[in-house]
Amino acid sequence: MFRNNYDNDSVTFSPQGRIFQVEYALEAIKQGSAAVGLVSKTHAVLVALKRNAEELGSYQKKIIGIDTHLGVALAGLAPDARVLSNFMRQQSMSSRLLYNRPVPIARVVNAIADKAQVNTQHYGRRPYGVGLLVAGVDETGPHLWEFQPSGMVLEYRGAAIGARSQSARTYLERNFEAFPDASREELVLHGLRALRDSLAQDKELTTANVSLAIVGEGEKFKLYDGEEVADWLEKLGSTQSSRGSRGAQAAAAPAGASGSGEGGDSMEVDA
Amino acid sequence: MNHLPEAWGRPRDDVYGAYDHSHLRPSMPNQHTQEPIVTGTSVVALKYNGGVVIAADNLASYGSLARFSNMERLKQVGTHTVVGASGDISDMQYLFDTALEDLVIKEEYQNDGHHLRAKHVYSYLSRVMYHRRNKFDPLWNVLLVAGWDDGKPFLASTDLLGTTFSAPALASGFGASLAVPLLRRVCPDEESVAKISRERAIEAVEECMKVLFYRDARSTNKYTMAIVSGEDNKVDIEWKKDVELQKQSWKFAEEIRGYGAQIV
Amino acid sequence: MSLFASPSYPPVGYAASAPRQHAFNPYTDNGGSIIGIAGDDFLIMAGDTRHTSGYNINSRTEKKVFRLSEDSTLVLATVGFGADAKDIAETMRLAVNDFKFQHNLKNMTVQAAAQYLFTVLYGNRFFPKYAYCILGGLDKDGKARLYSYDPVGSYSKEGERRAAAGAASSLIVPFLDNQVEFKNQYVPGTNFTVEREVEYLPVDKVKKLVKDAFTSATERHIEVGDGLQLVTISKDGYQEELFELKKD
Repeated sequence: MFRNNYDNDSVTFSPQGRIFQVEYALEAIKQGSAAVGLVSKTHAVLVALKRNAEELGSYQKKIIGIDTHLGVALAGLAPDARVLSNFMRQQSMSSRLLYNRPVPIARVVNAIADKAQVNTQHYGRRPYGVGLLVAGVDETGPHLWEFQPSGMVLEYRGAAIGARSQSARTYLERNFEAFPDASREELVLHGLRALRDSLAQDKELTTANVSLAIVGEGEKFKLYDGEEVADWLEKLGSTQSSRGSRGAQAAAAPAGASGSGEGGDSMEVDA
Repeated sequence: MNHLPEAWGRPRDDVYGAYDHSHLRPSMPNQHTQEPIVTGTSVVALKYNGGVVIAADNLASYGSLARFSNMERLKQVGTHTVVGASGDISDMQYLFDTALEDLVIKEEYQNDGHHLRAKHVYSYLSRVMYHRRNKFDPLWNVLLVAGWDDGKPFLASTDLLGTTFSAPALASGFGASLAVPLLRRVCPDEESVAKISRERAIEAVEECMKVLFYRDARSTNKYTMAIVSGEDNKVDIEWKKDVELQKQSWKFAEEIRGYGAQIV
Repeated sequence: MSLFASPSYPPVGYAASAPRQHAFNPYTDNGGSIIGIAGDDFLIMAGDTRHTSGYNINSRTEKKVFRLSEDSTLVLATVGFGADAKDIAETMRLAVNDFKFQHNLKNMTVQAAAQYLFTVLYGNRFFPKYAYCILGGLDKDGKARLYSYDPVGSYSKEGERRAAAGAASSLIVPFLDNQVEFKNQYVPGTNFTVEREVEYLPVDKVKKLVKDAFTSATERHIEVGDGLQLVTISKDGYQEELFELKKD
C-alpha cells in the first residue's frame, strides 16, 4: 500500500472514488487471525483461530458472547470489537427490558453498521478496525451476518474473515449446499474443516488455538475454549490443513484447489 | 436611574412604578396529571380455549356527565394484539394514537420478518406506564392487553403505577369488583381455559357488560367487543362494533329503593 | 439611587398562589408474603401467588420468587409494591446476565449480587423502591447464603439463617424465630436454663415449616393465599414446586 494524498482522513474521496482510510480499516481485518461462521436450518456456529497463544499470558479472545441467543467472532483490532460488542450487549439488554424480546439479529447488526458508517463520514474519526461475524438465533431462525468497518453488513450461509480466510471461504463455497440440512455436529465439523484449510503449512488446530461457539434453536449460545474443544478436534481427525500438506492428506484434498495460495503457501496475509 | 443590564429595555421604575411580574410568570408550577378528567369505565376480558374476548363500552364521561357516547376504547396493535383502556381518555388517546401507532410503524418499517406480539406490546406498555409513574407524571389508565402469543391466549393488565399482573379473567375499574367474580365462575383458573368455548366466553363477557350497565352509573348500553382467536401462529381478530345490550331486564330494580315505584 | 441597588425583580420562583400538592400517590401495596430459609447446603425460597389491590384479588398466580439466571444459583424474592418489586427483579436479572457476559461467562457470586442489590436499593434512597427483598444463593463452597433487605437497601453482609417479609411477616417471623432459630426452646429437664442449641435443619423439615407458615398466614391474613411457590436451591440446581393455598 502506497501513501497518497487522499488517505489523510475518512472524509476525502480519491479521484477514483475511493476512501482510503476505510480501505485501510478493511486491511486491519486481514491482519487478524481467521474466523469462520456458518448456519444450518437449526444452528449457527462460529470457529476461530487464536494466534500466538502464549503460555505466559491468557489466551486471545476471538469469540465474544453477547447474549444467550447471540455472539460474535472477530478479526482485527480486539479493543474495537470489545466496544462494538458492549454496544450490542446494551441493545440486547434494552430489547429485553422494553419489549421482553431477545433482540432480532438483523437489528443489532444494523445498529452497529450505522455506528460504523458514521465513522466513515466525519472528519477526525477513525473507522473501526475490526470485522465481525455475528451468529445468533431469533424468531426467524439462525442467522450469520458479516460486519465490516465500512458499515457494510451482509447475511451469509457461510463466511470467513481474517488472515488466509480465502482458503476457508473456498471450503465453504464447495460445501455450502450441505449446510442447511447439516446436523449440529456436522455443521461444527464443516466449520473446523474450513478453519483448518486456512492454516499455514506447518500449523495445526490444537486446543490452544481453537475457539468454538454454538447457538441453536432452543440451545443457548455456548463458547468452547481450551480443553473443551478437544472432543471436537478428535471428531475432526486430521488437524492440519488439507491444502498445505497435500501429500499426507491426499484423500481429503479438494481437487480443484489450484488457486493462488496453493502448495508452499508463504503469504502472510490473504489478498 | 438603574443602569444595571437586567433593567435595560424596561419601563423605568421611577416613572412607571415597579413592574408587576405576576403577569409574566405562570402562577402555578408545571402540572402533571393529578386526576383523570374525561374518563372511560371498565374494560372486561376473558380467555377461552382458542383466544381472548375483550370488551369495553363506548362512553366517555366528564365527571358524572355522559360526555361522548361514541368513544371506542379498544385498539388493535399489530396483528396479534388488542389493547383496552379505562381511565383518562386523553391519556388513552396519547397511548393509542401516538405511542402505539409509532411503535407499530417503527416495527413494520424494519421489514425484517419480525412483528410485535401481545407480550411485547404488553411489556412496552407496562414499561411506559412505570416510567411515567417514576416521573410523577402518570398516564391515568388501567390497560388490558389481550392477544395470541406462542400458540396460547394472552391476557394481562398494567395501570398508572406500572403494576402488572395476568389472569385468565380480568376487568378494570368497576369491573374488577362486578365482572371478575362472574367471569371467575366461568373460568376460575388457567387450567379451565381449555374447557371454555368461544361462544361461552362471548356470552360471559356480554353478561358482564349487562351487569355493569345495570350497576355502574358511568357506563352505557353500547359497547365494542374484540375476539382475538388463534391457531398456532395464525391470528384472527373479529370486531363487533356499536353492539347494543340485548335482553335487558330491570325487574331486579323494582326491589331497590330509589328505582321504580317506591314501596315503604 | 445607588449604582449597586439590586434590581427590583423578585427572586425566581413562583408568584401568586403556592404550588398545589400533587394528589398522585406513586405507591400501592399488592400484598403477599415471602420466606427464605438457609440450610447448610441448600436454600428454600417461597412466596404466595396472590396479588391484591385493596380487597380485590388481581391474580391468583403471580409469582414472587425470581430466578436471576438459568445457570446460577441466585434467587430473589420480592414483595410489597408489585411494580417496584418486579422492576428490582428485572434489574437484578439483567445485571446478573450482563455480569456474566462482561466477565468471560463467569457467574456473579451471591456475595456480589447481595452487594449489588444494596446499591440498586440505596440508589433509590430518595424515591425508594417500595419492596422488601430476600436474596439467596449458594457460595463457591456450595454453602447456602441468604440476605434480606429493607426498601432502602439495609442488609447484613453475614447473611442470615431465615427471613420473612410482606403482609404476613409479623405472623411468620415469630414462628420462624421459634422453629428455625429455636428461640424460647430449652433443653428438657434443665428447668428453662439451657437454651436449645441452633442447628441446620434438613430440607424436608424446612419445606414443612414453610408450608405450615403459609397455610397459617393464609388463615389469618386476607392478602395471603391462593398458591405457594416453593423454590429449592441445592447442588442439584433449581427446583420449583407449586402448592395450593386456600382461595378465600
